[in-house]
Amino acid sequence: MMWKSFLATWRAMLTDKGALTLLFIGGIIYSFFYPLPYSTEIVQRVPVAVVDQDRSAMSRQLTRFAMAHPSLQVIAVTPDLPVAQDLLWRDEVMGVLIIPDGLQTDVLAGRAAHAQVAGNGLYLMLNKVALNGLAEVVGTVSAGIELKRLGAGTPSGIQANEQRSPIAFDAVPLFNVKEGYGAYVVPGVATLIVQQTLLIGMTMLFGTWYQRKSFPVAGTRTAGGYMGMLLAFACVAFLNCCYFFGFVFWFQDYPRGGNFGGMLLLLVLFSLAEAAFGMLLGMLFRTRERGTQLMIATSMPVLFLAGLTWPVSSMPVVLQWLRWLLPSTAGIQGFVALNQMGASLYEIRHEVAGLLALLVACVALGWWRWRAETPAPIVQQR
Amino acid sequence: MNEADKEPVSALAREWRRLRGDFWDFGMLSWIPVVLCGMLWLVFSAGIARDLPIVVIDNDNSTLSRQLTRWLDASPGIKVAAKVASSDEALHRLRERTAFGYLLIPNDFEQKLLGGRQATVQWLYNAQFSSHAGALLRDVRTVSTTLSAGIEMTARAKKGMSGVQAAAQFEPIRTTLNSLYNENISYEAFLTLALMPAMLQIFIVVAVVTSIGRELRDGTAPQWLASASGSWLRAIGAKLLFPLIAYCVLALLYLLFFSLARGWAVAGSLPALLLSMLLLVLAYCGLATLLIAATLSLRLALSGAAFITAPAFAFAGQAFPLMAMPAPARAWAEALPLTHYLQLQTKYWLAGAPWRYGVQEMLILAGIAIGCGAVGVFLLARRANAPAAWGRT
Repeated sequence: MMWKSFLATWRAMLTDKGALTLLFIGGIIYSFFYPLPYSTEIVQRVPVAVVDQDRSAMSRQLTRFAMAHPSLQVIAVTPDLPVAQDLLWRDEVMGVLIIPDGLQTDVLAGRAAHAQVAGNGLYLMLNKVALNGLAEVVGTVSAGIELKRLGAGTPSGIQANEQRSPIAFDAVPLFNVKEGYGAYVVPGVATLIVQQTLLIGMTMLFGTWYQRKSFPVAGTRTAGGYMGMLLAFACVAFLNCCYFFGFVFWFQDYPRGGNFGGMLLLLVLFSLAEAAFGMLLGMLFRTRERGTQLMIATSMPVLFLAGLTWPVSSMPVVLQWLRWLLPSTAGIQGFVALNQMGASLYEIRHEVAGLLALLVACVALGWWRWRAETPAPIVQQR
Repeated sequence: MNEADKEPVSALAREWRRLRGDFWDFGMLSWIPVVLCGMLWLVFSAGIARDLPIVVIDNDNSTLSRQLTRWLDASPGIKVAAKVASSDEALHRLRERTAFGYLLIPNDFEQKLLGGRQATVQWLYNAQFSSHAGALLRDVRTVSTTLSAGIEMTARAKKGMSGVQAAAQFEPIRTTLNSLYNENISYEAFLTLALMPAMLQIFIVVAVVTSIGRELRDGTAPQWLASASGSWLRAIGAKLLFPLIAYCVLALLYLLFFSLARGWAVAGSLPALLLSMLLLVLAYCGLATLLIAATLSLRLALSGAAFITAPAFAFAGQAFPLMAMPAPARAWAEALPLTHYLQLQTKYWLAGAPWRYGVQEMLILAGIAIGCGAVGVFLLARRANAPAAWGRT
């Protein structure tokens, strides 16, 4: 019975054009489409403006340094603040360096001088690059002045530098060492794509079967029938994950941590949980398109609930718990830890336990629904 | 009463009856978007991440190294979850995701600093969790710089400089860093506000595609057209009216919620922002009409909707900037109404721009609405009333 159901489900998947596209082609299309905007990975040459109200040798030096900075592109130098504001509103610059009148006089007189650096806080990545770049420019010029002063009283330049900044700060990125944006987002989204295409495909098939009143497995709903169908859908999740984790991550050259054994185990568990979850969901809707409509709309909340882009600890407590009801939560966290960070099975024990619990719950509920739904003709015969 | 008498209202009445009779379709216009958008807001409602866990490897265990650790823990964005002995232990915490970075304090930390030499602290962080790491880096660097400046000031005071003099000396040009329009880098302002229209566009396209697609799939296009007394404009207008009203109301709701209840007041031109919202809804109504008219299949049009709307936020340039995208991605982004709308929203709502700064984007949105809508209506009028266009699944 189980194998009959397994084969019948596969036949149903392969003969329905809509399901076929979603289950097997959708992932491939998304795998090229989704990483596309991020393919340059980092931001360079962020446009900035310099508001030079000092017009001194020092302000010109600051401007020159800004022009030479690799992550900045000075597109305007002006004494007028409104000009800079205008450029900001036109999105033509993302940052501004403001050199106030009297800066050089203050510095030469030994008074503390202030330069202002402003970035557009509504574009987070550009803001960061603009602020860091401009702060570096001011810092370099400032350090030059200070070193000259210190140099007068101390024997060597190195010593002067050490006195200037006693604690050196050395930041080292781990795992995603190139700090690519795609390498950060796409591995998590890959798992989401596998889940959403599978769920859309499954709810589409279930809805169609209900509408046509024809199920691939005719007759009484047996445990074997349920298991066969579950395994068939789990295969699809398994294959799609293999494609993403094996081919796409390599092709896009994302960090690969390589706990292969652990990955395989989580993969089996994840695929089964997805299939059981999908079957439960599929038995909820009665029309072909219903699942699709809902699944398109839920993909963004589902992604953010996974805790990749926003710390779980900063979510309301009720969401911290509810998010485990989605297979993607444990899947995204677990696969990123295994595939990108090389975590051990122990280090993803919460994800394993979560998926296991979800699998048991979905199979129990799904099996109960499955039996309750033994097709009408048979009931009438009795 | 014969058909002719009730014609002007009946296309609308027919659509209303269909909506009321369909729990889920009605939900897609009302409570489902509210629930999903509410959930998204809840996720980011804290605005700023607090107390992210890190660990410290303190090889020095001196007064200064302990002070550094205490200051880290006191920083609002950081929680020192533990002191660990080795990098292996720290990495284990990172892989477990119970810490997102660790600070390594060398064993000669205090000795070097007291001797007037430079000591290096290393901050190693999980760059795979980029936004966690970004917030932490800022705070960890601030704490270490503050301590460093304190030590330098003390050293100068010892040499007999006055405090004011020392302060001016040690950093001749100070820098004030400012994140305009979003002082605290709140994710609520930067992300949630932009996510709401990203959700809205999904719902609009799905609703319009569904309502027109049903008639084609069920082969009820002739009745639909008859209910509008044979006018395609009126027939399609009846289909668009309810989604249009529902999603304009939703747009207003999110505007009211964030500007009044959450305190993100509209800093720029309010009329221009309202007009932009209307244009967003209209542009996606047009796009959806074209989508179903071009495919004549509910399933294909929904697949198209999934392809266009679900990843649209990734292309819209809010999280990852447009200027860094390769040309094909940039072109796709420019073709999406969402990209232009979000630029308008950013300008008018938070950056405080006057209305004239968004004229170009508004014209683009209006162009998409009219262009796609006109082609959509034309195609439907030409093809939808033929049996060949019906029953596709």
